[in-house]
Amino acid sequence: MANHSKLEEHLRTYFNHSQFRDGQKDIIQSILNGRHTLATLPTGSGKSITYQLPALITEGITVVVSPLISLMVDQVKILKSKGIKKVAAINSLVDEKAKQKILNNINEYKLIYCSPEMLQQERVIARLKQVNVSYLVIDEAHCISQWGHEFRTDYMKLHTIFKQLKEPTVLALSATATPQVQDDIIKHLQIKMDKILYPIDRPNITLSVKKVEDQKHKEESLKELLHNNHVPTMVYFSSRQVSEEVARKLQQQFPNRKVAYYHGGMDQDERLLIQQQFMYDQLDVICCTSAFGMGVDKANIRLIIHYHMPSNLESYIQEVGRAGRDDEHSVATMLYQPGDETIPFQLISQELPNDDELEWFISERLNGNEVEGLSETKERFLKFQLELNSNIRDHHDLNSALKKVRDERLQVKRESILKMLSWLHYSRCRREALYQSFQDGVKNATTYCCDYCDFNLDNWTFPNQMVDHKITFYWEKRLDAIFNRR
Amino acid sequence: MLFERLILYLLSYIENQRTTSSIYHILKGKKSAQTIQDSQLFRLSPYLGILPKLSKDEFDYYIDRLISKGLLFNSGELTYLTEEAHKLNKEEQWFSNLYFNGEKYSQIALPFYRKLQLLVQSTSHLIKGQNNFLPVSDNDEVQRDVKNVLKESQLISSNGEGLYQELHQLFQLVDEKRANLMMMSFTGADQVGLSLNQIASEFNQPERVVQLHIISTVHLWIEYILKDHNHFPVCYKFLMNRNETSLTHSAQMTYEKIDQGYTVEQIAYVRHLKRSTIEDHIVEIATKDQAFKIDEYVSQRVYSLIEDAINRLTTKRLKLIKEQLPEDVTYFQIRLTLARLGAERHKQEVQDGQSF
Repeated sequence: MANHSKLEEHLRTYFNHSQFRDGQKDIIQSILNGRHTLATLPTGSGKSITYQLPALITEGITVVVSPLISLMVDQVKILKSKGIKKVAAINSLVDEKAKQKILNNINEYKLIYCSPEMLQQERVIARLKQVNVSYLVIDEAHCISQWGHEFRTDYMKLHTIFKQLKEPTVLALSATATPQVQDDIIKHLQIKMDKILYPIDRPNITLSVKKVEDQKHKEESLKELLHNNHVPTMVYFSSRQVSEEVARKLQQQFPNRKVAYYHGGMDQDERLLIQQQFMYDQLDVICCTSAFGMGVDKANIRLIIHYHMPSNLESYIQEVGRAGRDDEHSVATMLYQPGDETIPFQLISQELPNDDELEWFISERLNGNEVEGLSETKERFLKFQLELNSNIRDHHDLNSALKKVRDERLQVKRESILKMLSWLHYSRCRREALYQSFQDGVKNATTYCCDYCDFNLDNWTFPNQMVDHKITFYWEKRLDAIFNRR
Repeated sequence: MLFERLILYLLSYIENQRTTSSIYHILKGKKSAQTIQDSQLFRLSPYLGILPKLSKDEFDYYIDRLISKGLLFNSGELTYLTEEAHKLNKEEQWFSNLYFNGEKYSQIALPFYRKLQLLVQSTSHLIKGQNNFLPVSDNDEVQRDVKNVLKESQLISSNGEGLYQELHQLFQLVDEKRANLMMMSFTGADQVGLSLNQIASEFNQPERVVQLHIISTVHLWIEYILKDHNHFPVCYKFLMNRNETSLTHSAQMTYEKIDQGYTVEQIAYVRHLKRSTIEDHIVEIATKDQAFKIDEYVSQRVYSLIEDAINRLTTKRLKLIKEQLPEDVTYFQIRLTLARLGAERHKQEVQDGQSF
């Protein structure tokens, strides 16, 4: 506890914050004291500082296992933009030469973000074994659990990694882990862990659902909502194409506002521009898929609209959590049209291999052939299951074994959709219903609670919060502005 | 129909001779001997590789539109322009005054532009004392080169005067509308740049058209900077060590083997490649390197035969040429001859001052 009082000082030095947010300090102290820790903190509450700060003030290297490359890239970028340069990411996008360079100079880094696949590589592990790894951080730890919405098979091998790295202090972090998932995480890591569970409900966000009859009605409702509220707004879609179409329509409807779309199918450079425009209030409304949001630390998002429903409550909580990081009042609303659930049902069946793909993959692999052309999630699933079932010799048995696992996963995902759906249809407090499976009880809302308790979306209007951001059109004027010559 | 008009225009160059795909490959800058050779033969090298991300689906969509508008029609495996199309092609069009030099600059234009944008963003933030910001490019090479320029302290002064002057000159090279359009893509501490899609809607133009205006401007800038690089010490930094007309890596390796005296068969054998692949490499080398001697593959006698046939037929279609020649003359030899003839014709035109 020697550095107890100094923690705030470090926080100011490295992150320019004057005080910790709820939960951060407890987690930091726990791992500084060498306790293996399982922690939950709500989205948008500064989860990453809980390992970044200890990493910077402790001898040795911190290895962060992160499931998504985009997440890693964003984290590294954000740290670098804050002047913290001793960070690197190792994943499949990093070319061999750059990877080798990082590994050779590994002692110059404090934080290494690593995809779980890379941690399987002999070369990477061998190098990490030579150095002093002080913390092993497992970000998005719910990926370990089969009951989690994002089960990632490679996360199941983390126990071995932990052993190979000479048992560093482990921090498993998640924003959304039910008690069942928490138990699973501890079981798979095979270590004793302290649990630090912070409630994940966000009292400054008012929750609501608006049921509409059809597509036309949905669009009208969206337009009406935006008409009444001129504030920084995100509209979530499941489909790239629809996000573009609706963005176009909204731009026509509101010529004085700036509307843009954002999805994973766009060029990286274009995505960066749109993201930054939104961050700097140059955009009013962003129509996006779930690809948007990671690493977007915009404090004043007031309104989050779901045009399509997500496929589970966890994703919904995460996406809603992007609102009101400044702790000011914000509103989240879902537009639901009967039959909307068919989209997530279709999406989950596309995530896992169908019978043909499964049988084809197995027979090709048994014949020693490489298989190409399957999506990343399907291939990952099949590879891992084959490895896991390598004791089964019989072709036919292998097919049935894998189909069984596949069907179990599908069932978990289906149930998640049904939970999302029943939340939409509850006639009781939405806040309680949303968070009940993740924690005991919820805090009282700071302003309005939900459309069941006290809130009427149709009558709601935020005061206009957008600054007028006319873009400069003339090149010479703009050039002067860029070079501060006004 | 704006973008389609450009395709229609380019198609007139290859009518009767090649399928529409060859225009697609040229725009995309396919690194094959055939495409590089085609671009020279049909004098389309300015357009080589100007749209590296154009998809075949999108291209086919434009072709279909041109057909449905009665400007193109199919006959056999080739596509022909209608009379109306030829008439349209003679009109002044949005791209008539756009400068392209794809053959020389396609490879370097985009990296140069990205680096310039990041340098401008960095300088703008640094002038305002903001040392930490999110860069507009994630690309390692782009970031590294910009960092190196920023490190050379004499290049960027504290108020960015030198870079400002260079940019001011560059923007004055194009008309005001285009200068405005270009400037919108730049990010500074004052404003985040607009995406292509957003600029297109600001100007009420198709995205592809806006994109080509940008690419053309960048080609023009590069040309200008290289010509007078003493006046552009900052921008020129991004153009040093460029590799303008590079051979594909594989062709380069083949070239080395040829220099060591290997035959086509031997190269195919040691490199575990098909004979036809090695032949492609040799055609590519002959197209790009005028000093490369083709005598070993085409004797003077065969060369003259092929040349005669080409002149007689006034075609560049390999099949038609081959039919006119003795059976032992190979496609490989015809392509090599075409490569040489194309290069010579090109050289002649440049000497005559007919640059395009």
